[in-house]
Amino acid sequence: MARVRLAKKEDGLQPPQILEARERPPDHSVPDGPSMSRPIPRRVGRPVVVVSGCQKVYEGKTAALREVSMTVHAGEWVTIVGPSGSGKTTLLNIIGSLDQPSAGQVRVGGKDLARLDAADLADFRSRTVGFVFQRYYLIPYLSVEENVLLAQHFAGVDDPQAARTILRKLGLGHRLGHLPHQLSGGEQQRVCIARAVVNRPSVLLCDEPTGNLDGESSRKVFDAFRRLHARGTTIILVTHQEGYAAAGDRSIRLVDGRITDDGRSAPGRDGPASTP
Amino acid sequence: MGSSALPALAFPTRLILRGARLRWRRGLLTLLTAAVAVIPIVSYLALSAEVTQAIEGDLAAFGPNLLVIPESPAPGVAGARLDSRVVDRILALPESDSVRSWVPFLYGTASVGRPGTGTENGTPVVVAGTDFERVRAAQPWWQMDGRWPAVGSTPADSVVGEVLARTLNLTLDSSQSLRAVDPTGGGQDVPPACNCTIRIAAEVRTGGGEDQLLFIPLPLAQELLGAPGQVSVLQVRVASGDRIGPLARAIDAIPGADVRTIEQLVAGDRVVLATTSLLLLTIAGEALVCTSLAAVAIAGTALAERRSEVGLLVALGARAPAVRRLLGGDLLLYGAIGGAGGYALGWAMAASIGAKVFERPIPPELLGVLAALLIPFVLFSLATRLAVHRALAAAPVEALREG
Ligand SMILES: Nc1ncnc2c1ncn2[C@@H]1O[C@H](COP(=O)(O)OP(=O)(O)OP(=O)(O)O)[C@@H](O)[C@H]1O
Ligand SMILES: [Mg+2]
Repeated sequence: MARVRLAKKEDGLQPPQILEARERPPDHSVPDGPSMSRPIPRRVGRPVVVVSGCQKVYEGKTAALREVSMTVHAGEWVTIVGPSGSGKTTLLNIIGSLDQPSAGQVRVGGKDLARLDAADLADFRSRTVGFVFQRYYLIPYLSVEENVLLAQHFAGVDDPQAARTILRKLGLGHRLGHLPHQLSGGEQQRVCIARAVVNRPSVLLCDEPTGNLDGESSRKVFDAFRRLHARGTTIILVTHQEGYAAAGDRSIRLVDGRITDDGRSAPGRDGPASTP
Repeated sequence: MGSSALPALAFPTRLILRGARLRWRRGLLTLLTAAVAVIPIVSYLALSAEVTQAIEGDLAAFGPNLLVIPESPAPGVAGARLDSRVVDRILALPESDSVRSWVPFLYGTASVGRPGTGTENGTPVVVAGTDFERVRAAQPWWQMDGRWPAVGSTPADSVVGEVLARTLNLTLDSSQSLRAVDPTGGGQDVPPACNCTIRIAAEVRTGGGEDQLLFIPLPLAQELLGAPGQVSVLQVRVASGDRIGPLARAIDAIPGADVRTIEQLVAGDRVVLATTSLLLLTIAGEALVCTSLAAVAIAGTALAERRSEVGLLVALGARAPAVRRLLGGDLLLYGAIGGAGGYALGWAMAASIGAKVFERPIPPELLGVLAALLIPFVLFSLATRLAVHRALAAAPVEALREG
C-alpha cells in the first residue's frame, strides 16, 4: 500500500513520538525541562530531503530559484534564511509538493516527488510532511479541534482524543471549541502546528511560523518545535528573523534564488538569545 | 459554539452542514436551480403516466372496445340489423381468438303495462334484448338491485333501468306485459302481438344509457320485435389494444357488418394529452439545459470562492473525491431540498393540468420521485466534478495564495 511504502523506515524517515512536553507556566524564561535541554547528540540519519539542481521560473520571467541543491538528514533541524524575495517560500513549497520545480529533482524519503501519482502525492502530503503556514490557513467555520481533525481525516484517521492531547500540549486545551477568529495570532499558529503534526509527519516544514508573532508567542511556538525535534522530527524552517535562525542544527542562506551558505558549522541549538 | 450543535454526526458531515449554513445564499440559488430542473419533468411524468393510464382505464371501464353494427344505414334505424349468420362468421374469424367477451343487443320499442289491466298501450319504452349471462361476465360494473335473471324462466326474468323503473313505477318482482309499437307512431308494420309477459327481476344502475332501458332475454326480444336471429349490435371486448385493429379490419371485410372502435371516443383526449406532454417535455428539456449551465456556474463560483480551502485540503492530503465531497456536499444538500420542493410543485402543476384539462385527479408518481432525487444529484455532482477538476489543475500553492 502506498501509505505504508511512504512511511517506511528504510526511507530514512523516522516518525516522531507524540508530543510529550508539559504545558508550561506563563513565565518560562529559565530554560528547563526536556524541551529546553541541549539535544542528546544524535547520530545523523540518512538523507531525507534531497534537492538537486532545482529551478523555479515564474511565468517565464521571474527566476525564484536558480540552481538549488541541498540535503537534509533525518532528525536534522535546518533553518533557511535570506532576504525577502530570495526564494525561501518557493523552496519550501517545492519540498512539500505544494509547488513543482521548473527543473531539477526533489526526493523526499527516497521518493522522487515528480514521479508520485495523485494518490501517492496525497499520501505524501497527509503523512510524510506537515506544513506550518505563515498565514495559518485555518478553516474559519471549523473549531480549533475540527481544524486538526481535518488533517486526520485525510490520513484516514479518526482519533479526536489524540487531536485533543496535542492541542492541550500546545497550551490550547481551553480553546478546543473556539473558532479561529476567536484566537490570538500565536494561538492560531499553534493550532496550525497541531494540525501539521497530528499525523506524526517525518518532516515538518515551517514557513516563517513566527513572522506575525510577538516575542512571547514566538517562544511558545519554538518550544513546540524543540519538543518535536527532540522526538526525532526533521524540521525545515524558513525565517528571516536571524535570532531564530540559530535555533536549528544548520542554517542555509538563500540569496536571489541561490544557496550562498550551507552552514554545516552552524552554532548549537541554543534558541534565540534575544527576541529578534 | 457551532461545534457542539451537531455532536453525533461524522466529521465530514459536520463540515458540510457548517459550510451549508454559512453559504445559505448560494444554497437558495442551488435549491431554486434544482427545483426548476425538476418541476417540468415531474409534471410530465405524472401527467403522461396517470392520464394515459386513466384513458386506458376509461376504455376498460367502458367494457367493449369494439362495436359491430349493421352495414349502413346508420345504427338505430329500424330494420338495420345483424343477421345471426353474420354473427357466426365474425365469431369464426381467426382474429376472434383475441375476443375476451361479447354481448349481443337487439333494440326495439315496446309499450309496457300490467297484464290484463288494459294498460299495455302505455308509454313506449326502448327494450334491449340481451344475453344476461354474457352481460354478467362482460359488464361487472352493473349495479343490480334484485337478482340476476334466471335463464328460461316464465314469465321471463328482465332487468329495468333505474330511471325507467322510477318513471313507470316498475317495481321489483312485478309482472308486466309487452307489446311492440311502431316507434315512428305511423302505425306501419307492427309485428304481431305476442304473449310477452315478463317479471322485473332486478333494477340496474350504471349511470349511463342503460338506466333508461328495459332489458329482456334476447329470444323474447327477437319474438316481440319480429326479428328472429337478429341483433342490433355486438359489443366486443378485445383482450389487448394492439389486437383491436386486425380484428376490426377482418370484421369490416364481412359483408353486412360494420365496425367502430371505441378508442375513437377518447382519441380527442389523447391528442390533447400528446400535445401537453410534448410541451412539457420540451420545457423539461430546455429547463434541464438551462439548469445544467446554472449548476456549472454555481459550482464554479462556489469553488472559486473557496479556492484557498481547496488549496488547504489538497495540502493536507485530500484527494479529488474528498475535495468534491467536502466542498460540493452543501450543493448536493441544497439540491436535494430543491428536488423535493420541485417534486411538490411539479406534482401540483400536473394535478392542476389534470384537473383543468383532463378532469382527472393525478396521484403522486414514483418515477417522478426518482427523477426529483436523481436529477439534482447528477446535475450538481457533475458540476462539482468539473469545478474541482479545474481547481485541482493548478498547484495547491496557487490556490492557497489566491484565497
Ligand atoms: N506566483 C508567483 N508568480 C510570480 N512570481 C512569484 C510568484 N511567487 C513568488 N514569486 C517571486 O519569486 C521570488 C521568490 O519568492 P518567495 O516567496 O519564494 O520569496 P521569499 O524568500 O519567501 O520572500 P519573503 O521573505 O518575502 O517571504 C520573488 O521575487 C517573488 O516575487
Ligand atoms: Mg516567504
